[in-house]
Amino acid sequence: MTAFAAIVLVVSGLATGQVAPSGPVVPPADAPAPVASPQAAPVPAVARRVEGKVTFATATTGYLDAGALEGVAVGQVIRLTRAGQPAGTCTVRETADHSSGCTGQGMRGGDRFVLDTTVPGAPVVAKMTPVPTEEELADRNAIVTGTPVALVESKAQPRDVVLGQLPSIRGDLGYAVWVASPGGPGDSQRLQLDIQVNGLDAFAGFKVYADARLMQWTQRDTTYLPGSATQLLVYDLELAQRDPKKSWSAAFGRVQPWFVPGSTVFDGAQGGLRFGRNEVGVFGGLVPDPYTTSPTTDRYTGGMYGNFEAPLGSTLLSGSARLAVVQNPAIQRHYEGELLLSYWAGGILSASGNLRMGFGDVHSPSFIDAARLSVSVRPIPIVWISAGFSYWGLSMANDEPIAAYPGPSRRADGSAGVDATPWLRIAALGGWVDDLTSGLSHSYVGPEITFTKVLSGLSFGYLKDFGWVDGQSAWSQIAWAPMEGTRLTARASWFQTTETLQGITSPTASNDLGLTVNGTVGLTSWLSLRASILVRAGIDNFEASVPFGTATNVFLVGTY
Amino acid sequence: MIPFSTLAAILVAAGAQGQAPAAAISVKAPGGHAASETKCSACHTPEGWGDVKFVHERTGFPLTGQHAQVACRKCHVVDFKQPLPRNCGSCHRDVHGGYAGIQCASCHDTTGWKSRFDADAHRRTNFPLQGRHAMLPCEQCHGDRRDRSFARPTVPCWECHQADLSNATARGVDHSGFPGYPQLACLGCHGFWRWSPASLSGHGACFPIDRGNHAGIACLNCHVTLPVPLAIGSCTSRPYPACIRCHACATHPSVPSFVCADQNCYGCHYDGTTGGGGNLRSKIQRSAPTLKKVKP
Repeated sequence: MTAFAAIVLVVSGLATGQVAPSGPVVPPADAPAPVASPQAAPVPAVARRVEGKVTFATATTGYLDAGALEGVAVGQVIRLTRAGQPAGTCTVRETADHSSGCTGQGMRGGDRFVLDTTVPGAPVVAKMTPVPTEEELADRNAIVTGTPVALVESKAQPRDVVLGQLPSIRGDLGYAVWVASPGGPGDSQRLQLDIQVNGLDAFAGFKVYADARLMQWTQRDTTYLPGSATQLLVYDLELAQRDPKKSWSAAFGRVQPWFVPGSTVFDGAQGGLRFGRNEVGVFGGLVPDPYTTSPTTDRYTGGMYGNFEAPLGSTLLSGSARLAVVQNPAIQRHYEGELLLSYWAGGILSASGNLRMGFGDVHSPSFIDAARLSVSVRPIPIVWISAGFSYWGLSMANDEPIAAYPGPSRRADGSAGVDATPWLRIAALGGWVDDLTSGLSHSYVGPEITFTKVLSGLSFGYLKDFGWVDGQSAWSQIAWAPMEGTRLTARASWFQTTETLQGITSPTASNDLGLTVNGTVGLTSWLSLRASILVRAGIDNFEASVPFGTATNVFLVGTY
Repeated sequence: MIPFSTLAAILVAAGAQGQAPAAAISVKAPGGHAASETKCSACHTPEGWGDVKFVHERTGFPLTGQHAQVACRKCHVVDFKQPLPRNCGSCHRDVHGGYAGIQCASCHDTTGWKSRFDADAHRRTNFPLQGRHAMLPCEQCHGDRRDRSFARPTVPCWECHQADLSNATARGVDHSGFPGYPQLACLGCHGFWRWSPASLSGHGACFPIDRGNHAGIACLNCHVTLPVPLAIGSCTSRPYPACIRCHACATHPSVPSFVCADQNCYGCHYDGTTGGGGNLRSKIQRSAPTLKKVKP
């Protein structure tokens, strides 16, 4: 109440134009009197005579037709009369609004009573202060608007994950095992450490980017996995300045270039001039070995590139291009030009495509090394359709037993779906892949339904296969993400190969069952556990040994 | 009850005491905002400037996974009105050197760059991973580790199993007569789960190796070389299987003019039994399976 009174006094001072100084608060002489709350006003009780009767009686209890609102209170002694004569007493034990119960002896229904009591009086209407005059309101407003306002600097509370601060360093340390019955040279095991540095501040606006993998094979078949048992693969190791607010960009080291479509990683430099979101520049360097990522001198690339973004109303056209010379033992000297264009129209249409032309001693038919086109359409929010086509025309000689380069091929795939209800998604997908070297092709088509509200999604799917390996497969998958940083997925599958060799029933005709479980569990804010296990078993010949195998990996993931 | 206007006056008066004058604080449009953007409450809450509550789904680009942790200004460098490209490559570098195309979502999602492509998803390529192929490290087939292209659409078995084919040839087994040679000839005898033992479909019609005394026997135990060309279903085999490599046949008194030679054994013991039934193979009436040859 003291604080409340002080506030009221301050208000009074403001209302009269007298801002209270620091120190004791003194109310002005002409301040209006505080308004009393209606709850605080005393309400006088009213005397009342209540006449009633016993509506029902047992041997010890009588039920009266008057209650608390009539003035009956617990503990009162009720004097009963019957035909005008005294009929004993009873003591009130409980009351309702308009009825009550009392205990006594010899009561009968119909016995009457008269009770002199009191009931709360009607509330007193508080007298409000008069409405301030227009002049007084104007005075008050002048005080408020005339008071200097100081802006308050907001200080957000620290959080576990600060927005915009994705981990700068990530390390994945783990072990992976691939085994299958009845054992043999195909089994493999390795210890693996992945390190990624994503924009660690260095100097003068330059940042460090790195991406590398260290592997120690503890079991392998050197026929298929040649090379040293300990392998270090460096995909990226560069110092780069790519601040979009600056008018230039630069990177050197083992560079994974930006805005250079189709370019591989190289040991060299990239530099460009920026004009808003547009950029032009040059790049070049020695290209590492594709198998080991070791530095080489017989492979190089260099050229120029450009990138642009062109808003067209509410839509956007963006693209990037590369003109380069490529030296590679597989294709000798090769002159390449590549264009990548993307168009986005307000979430309804998204299209992207690229074209790579190559000229040189080794070249593809029509000099088209690669071409791709993908289109996604969402005509209404619950329906989507996407389709893509890709072509690879360049044939590159592989200089190792394990192929490193793709061969000529064509591929098309598509999917369409509808969110039929808020909890049901129905989709269909299909695809076709054609190997232009061997003439062997494979295609598939099938439906998939997803119950989106079952945990994080429960789906069932089926695919029918056609081509050099006919068959069919079906699966059921469930995903669960109970909290941030934790996600689990389990999938049970059935694979059937019904026919191969285009008519000949062979040992490859088989039925396999598979189970895949993978997930990530957050242990702390910076440490998580990532694991995956795949189990497959052939189920065709239970009398003989059942072939089975697993591919398992477990990783600890640390971030900083 | 205290009128709101009165309470505001109280707070203003209280704030005026001990606070710096308004002119001491500079007011500027924060990054990513146009100077005219004053509807702060459309995105921000009184809990703090960092907790943005903008419903990004309305833009057609839901912020899921790691994208939800990215500061607005990382993408909206100029302001929030300029449309941004939606393809992944506009913000992320293509580590695959262009080999893998531009549909990143086929293998990746926004929870992290670790690929979710696995042996099951491989069914949608030109090489479904059946049997043991599902239990191999990716690097065993995809040799390009520099660009991690994973692009190797050449399907024929011998692309990977050159060493096995060479080994078989060196041991005298010529596979060139098999249907589908060289692309898929292996599939006529070798399964996806086991390279060995192999089994030729239809072999039982000529000589049982899936049951009886010779069940599971290896090819090279009988065949020094595989016949070329292999006429599946004809039950002709030149040279004959090497029976006497394992079986002694010094005397056959009941067989006139017997000479211990492979072709003679097979003539009677066509069913692999010890007795041989005394039946000459020429008397046997059997129907060999009709098999189609694959186009080369």
